[in-house]
Amino acid sequence: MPEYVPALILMGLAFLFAVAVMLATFVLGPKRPTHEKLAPYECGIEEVEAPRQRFPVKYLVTGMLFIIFDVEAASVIPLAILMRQLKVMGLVELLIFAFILIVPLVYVWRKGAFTWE
Amino acid sequence: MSDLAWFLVAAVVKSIIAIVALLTAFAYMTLIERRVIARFQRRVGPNRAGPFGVFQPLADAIKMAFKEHILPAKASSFVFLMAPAISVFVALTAFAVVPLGGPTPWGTSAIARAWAPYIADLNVGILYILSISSLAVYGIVLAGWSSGNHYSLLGALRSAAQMVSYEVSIGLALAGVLMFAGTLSMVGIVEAQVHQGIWFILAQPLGFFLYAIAAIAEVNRAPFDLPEAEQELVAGYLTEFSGLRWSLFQMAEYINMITASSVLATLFFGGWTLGALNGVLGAPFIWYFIKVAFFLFVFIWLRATLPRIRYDQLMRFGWQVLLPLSVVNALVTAAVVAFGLSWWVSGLFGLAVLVIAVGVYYLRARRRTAGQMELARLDFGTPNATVSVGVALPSSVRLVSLPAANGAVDSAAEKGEPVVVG
Repeated sequence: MPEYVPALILMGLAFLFAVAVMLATFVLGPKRPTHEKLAPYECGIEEVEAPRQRFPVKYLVTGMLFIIFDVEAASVIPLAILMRQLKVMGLVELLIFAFILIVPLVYVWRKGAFTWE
Repeated sequence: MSDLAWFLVAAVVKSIIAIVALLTAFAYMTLIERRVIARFQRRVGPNRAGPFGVFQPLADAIKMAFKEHILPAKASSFVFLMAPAISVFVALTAFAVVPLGGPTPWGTSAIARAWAPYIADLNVGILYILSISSLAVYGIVLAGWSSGNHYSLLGALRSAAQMVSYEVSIGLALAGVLMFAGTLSMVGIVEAQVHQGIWFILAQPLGFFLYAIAAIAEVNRAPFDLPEAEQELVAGYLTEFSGLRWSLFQMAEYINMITASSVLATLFFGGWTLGALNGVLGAPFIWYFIKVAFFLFVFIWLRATLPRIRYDQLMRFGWQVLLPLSVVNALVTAAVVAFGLSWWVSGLFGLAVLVIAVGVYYLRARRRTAGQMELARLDFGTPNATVSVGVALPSSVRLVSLPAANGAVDSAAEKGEPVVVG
């Protein structure tokens, strides 16, 4: 796998750059913290309740749908590469696959998973 | 030195060049964007620092570095500090497989190949870009979560949901190109276009538009910049960040834009290839640069032209329009490739779908406008000049005015006038 080595080198340098900039933020600039400055930005009013509370379940539904559909989409890619060699057999496989993809899509659509108020 | 040593030296030097070039490109993209948007809005834009404002990015960078870097009291500090670093790390890393030229511009020896104008030619190239750039969501979610601020958290959640929704379509939209190319390597895809004598935009117009739209949503650019919707969420996940930490997020956004433009140029527009002029030193690179610059300009153009769309429209568009269309595109392309048909079959099909989609959108927009104009007429009597020009009332106005409209419906029915309730 020698062709991966340059990509890893870029990764390492990018990591060094990111960390260096983050460390530089401690050195550069004035440090004059006040109570108001460190408080969460709330458009000027006192904070009423703490953040990091529960959030709408719709986001969780979207996350689960993503996992299902993205794994399926990722599985299409090897099939796509080999489509020229597989010919009609590949098309049939893709049709079966698309059927499996579309049925849950229609189901969650009818269940209202894509309706945001 | 041995070949291996040269290989490593080349990799390190090319990586440093890539990082420096991307950072410079980011700095000048901010200037170009401000200048271009200013022109769109009949302003001049920043032009004071140096001729045409060329030193503006430098001035901005220095200013940003010497701003106070605030660490909010409620933030979980380690995650808060890691989040911008993750964003920029991911953005820089994804660029590794983008080819700026062919594998042999300097000759075919092993040393010359080590200096080819890309960092790595992985056989899973496009998959590498997709997987690395989907890590970008971590930077944003962690930034929002660690800030200890309601606006940041909401912005981050929105952004995460948006990015994952459009990512599904990205993979499927590219499947069509991959079927034609038969390889995942970026260099291989360009060579396949040379081999087949076409740019894949001709065979995959639908795939191109699906990928372009999904890519804009993926990099959180207007009109899909919901995470930064300032009238609702202040600055979204960026709210608590200041100075260089804030700049790192901007850096990541612009570098992601550059990578997305490079993918568009490489997969759909033939990358660096220039036919007979391929041998001229520098010419393929300039040709490639022009293509990428064009797509970057389109990014700015869209931001200047389109208003931000609503969150429910965004989610519905991603799942109910983009995803089914990309499945259809993949199926039709598969049929074309499997039966060995010519490329123009899928090209014509893609164009037909695009025409139908635009037509449906146009008719629906007209019907909605007509219904709202009718409601406005019922509310205010005869349409006045502003309404008859065709300005559609936003839905919030329509909801507020419904009781009045019902009253007007009754009186209109008494007079025997046609009644339309939108």
